[in-house]
Amino acid sequence: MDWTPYIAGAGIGILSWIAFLLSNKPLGCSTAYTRTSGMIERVFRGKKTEEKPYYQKFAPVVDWEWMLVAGVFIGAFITSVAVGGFSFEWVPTLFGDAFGYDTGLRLAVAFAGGILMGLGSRWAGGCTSGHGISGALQLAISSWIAVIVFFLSGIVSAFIIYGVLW
Amino acid sequence: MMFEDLHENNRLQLAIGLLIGLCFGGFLYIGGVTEYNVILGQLLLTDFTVIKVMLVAVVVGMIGVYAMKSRGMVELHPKPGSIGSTVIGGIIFGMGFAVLGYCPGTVAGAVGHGALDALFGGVTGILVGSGLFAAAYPTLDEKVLSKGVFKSMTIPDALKINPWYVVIPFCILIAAVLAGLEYFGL
Repeated sequence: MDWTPYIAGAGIGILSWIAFLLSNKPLGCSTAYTRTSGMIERVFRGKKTEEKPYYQKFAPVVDWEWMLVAGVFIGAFITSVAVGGFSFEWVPTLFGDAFGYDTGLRLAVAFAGGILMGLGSRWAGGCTSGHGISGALQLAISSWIAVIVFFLSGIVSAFIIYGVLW
Repeated sequence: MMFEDLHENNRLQLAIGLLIGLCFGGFLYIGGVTEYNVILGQLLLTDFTVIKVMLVAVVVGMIGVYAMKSRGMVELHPKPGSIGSTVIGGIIFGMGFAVLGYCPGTVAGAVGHGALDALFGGVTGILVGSGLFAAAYPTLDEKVLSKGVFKSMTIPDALKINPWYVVIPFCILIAAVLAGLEYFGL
């Protein structure tokens, strides 16, 4: 039996205690992208960006959650280097074996998926961390519904993409 | 609530956010869930790593957070939801999950271990999608997000019972699901 998912899960559960206790915040990631998107838009459109109602709710500034996502990037980098798992890769093997190792195709698909992910996570008010872990552990009704829909829709989409049923 | 002065210290909070994020990224990587193959394996129902990591995090987190809440040490922050927001947004999210193969947290971890599709495709796409949502928000909020608002915030609120009567059965249920997955070698 592989214990690594249990160690990782228990570690993330304990991090959520620390986040509630020290920061009065649940773990979450998707608002960091909204804030970054606002920061980029502000470079081009200036102060008018900040007048948008959504950026009134989520101001385009570096906040706790933004630092959390930056930390996830650095933490995964350090850990992967430490265990010798770091390597540059353009096309994941599961994708490449099914659709070919064409970097342009993979980037186009990932970009399209990213747009859906950015839209969907803000539309639903959270992502796999904010709803799936933090909301679920608080027994939030919205989060249990969200995470069930995330996976049902994800499973149906993955089955269609990989042509599992035909 | 404990540590209220600390919660007000914005600069220190940024440092705490970064430190928690560092550990979060390390655990996501160790758990294997920053890999496209593992996430798609979950959605194709051939690899149950993602569900295991999430369920264990939920059980451990739930017991600790509710134990601290019972002692008045922390406050909960459940999110409101509605059919128009949670269900429709969730369907779009799920499609993005399968097409991209990462979520907003794991995509940052994937970039950290060198996944260039996560950086040049995933992160840029999520930024564009978030920007599109911000642009569409006033219209969406009026016409879609406000439809079918859920009446209660949490399951114990809805049932009007002591939260431990929900926490304990949920923990037992999740433990049973995990035991089942291991029993069947998934």
